[in-house]
Parts: sequence; C-alpha cells; structure tokens
Amino acid sequence: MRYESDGFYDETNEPGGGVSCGNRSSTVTGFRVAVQKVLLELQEATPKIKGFYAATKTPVVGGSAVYAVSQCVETAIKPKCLNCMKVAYNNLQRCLPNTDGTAFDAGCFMRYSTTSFFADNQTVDIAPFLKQGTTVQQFPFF
Amino acid sequence: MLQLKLLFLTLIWWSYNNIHACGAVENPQRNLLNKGCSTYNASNLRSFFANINETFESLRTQISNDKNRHFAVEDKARGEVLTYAMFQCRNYLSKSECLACFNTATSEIRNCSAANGARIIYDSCFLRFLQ
Repeated sequence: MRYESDGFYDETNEPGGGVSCGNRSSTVTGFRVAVQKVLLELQEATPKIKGFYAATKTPVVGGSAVYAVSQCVETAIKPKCLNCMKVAYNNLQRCLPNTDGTAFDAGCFMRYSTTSFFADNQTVDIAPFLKQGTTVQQFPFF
Repeated sequence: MLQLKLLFLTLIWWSYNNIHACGAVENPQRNLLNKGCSTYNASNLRSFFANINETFESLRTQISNDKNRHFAVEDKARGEVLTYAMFQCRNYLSKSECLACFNTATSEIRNCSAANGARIIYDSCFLRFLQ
C-alpha cells in the first residue's frame, strides 16, 4: 500500500465537502447548546479513538435524545482528523436548531439526529477521551 | 473589495451546498449527500475500466472477509495506469448493510463513465477513486 501517494489517502478537507440539514426545527429549549456540547465532545474524542469512530446517545430536556456519529478515514493522521472534525462541527452550526444535520468531507463525517439511526447498544464510551476539567488526579501506583 | 470577494465566495459555497442538500430521501440509510465526477477523462480506457473493476473487487473482498471491517483502500497498477480507491461505511452498519451501500455506491459511481476520478457520499458510506 502506498500511503504516501500524493495525499489521496490522508487528505481530509477538500472542495466537495459540505453540510445537509433537516428541515424541522426543534422545539426543545436549549436544544442548540445541548447539541453543540455533544458535537464538541465528538470533535475532541474521535481523533483519539482507535479507528477514528464514535457514536453517542445523549438525553435532552423533554425526554428525547440526540444520536450522533463521527468518523474519520482510517488512513488519516490524528491532527488531520481533528481539523476535519472542526470543519464538520462548524458546518453543522448552520443546521442548528434543526433536528437533523450531516456534515461530510473527503476525510470525515459527522451527523446528529433526534431520530435514532443506530441501535442503543452501538454507542461508544467517549468519556475516557475527554479532558476532565475538575477531576481529582488519581495516582494508581500508591 | 475583500468583503465583496468574501461575499461572492460565500454565495458560491452556499448555492453549491444547497444544490447537493436537496436530494430526495428514498432510503434514509442511503441518502445521497454528494456526488462528483472529475471533468478529466481517463486516457487509456481499456486499462482504466479493467483497473476500476479490479480495484472495486478488492475493496469488496476486504470488506466481506473481515467481520469488523468498515474501511478499505486499494491501489492497482496496470502499465502506466495507477488507480487509488477508498471505501468506508459507518461502523454501526451490519456487514450486509455495509455491502449493500457498497453496491449502490459502485453502480452509481460508474455513471461517471470514463472520468479519471470520482466521489460519492451517502449517509451510510462513501466511495472515491482517482487515477
């Protein structure tokens, strides 16, 4: 395999990327902020996860939930995956507060929806990959 | 002047994306998000099509053979013709759903005819190649 070949396998952002938004606006108060948090966490965690893939289900006010998925091509390198995620996150701002949004690019993909598009047992625990602002440091050697 | 330029670029970007965002939702798992064919044609058509066929077949084999595989790349050389290809489906798909998306993507991307590169992106998977 020629991973070094003219950037085909590791290019991530290129013309042709974009966003597709659902046409229904959410009536849930605070929906935009809740989804932004979900997507920001995906943006942070995905480049650190082996296989560059994450899927989460997050409850929102009113009993519903946000399903979200993020993915980079496996031949990308970590910083390029992160860059691609950032562009996807920014593009998805256009969709909020609509209930559905999908951002796509040559090297990554990010989608959220209030409608389930994967099973509840297919989520990925991203907590270990997030910076913990106020967590007490633990020293396992004592 | 710079502001005008930026506005113009934004408008182009906006209209471009809107054209692609209007795809009808037939199968929600296979909603077409983006398709593009290179404006350049392959020079050696016989080698080109033979190479594309072999490359796609290899991608399919890679996805089929490995239980947890959702991603495949392949490059094939035939004389001076070198083809790169990449396929990925979302990890929540089952093997058969992933292969179904692969089949849709390969048959759709063949509509690019002899274009020397193309990409197709669905909710569930994407396929791209370059020669």
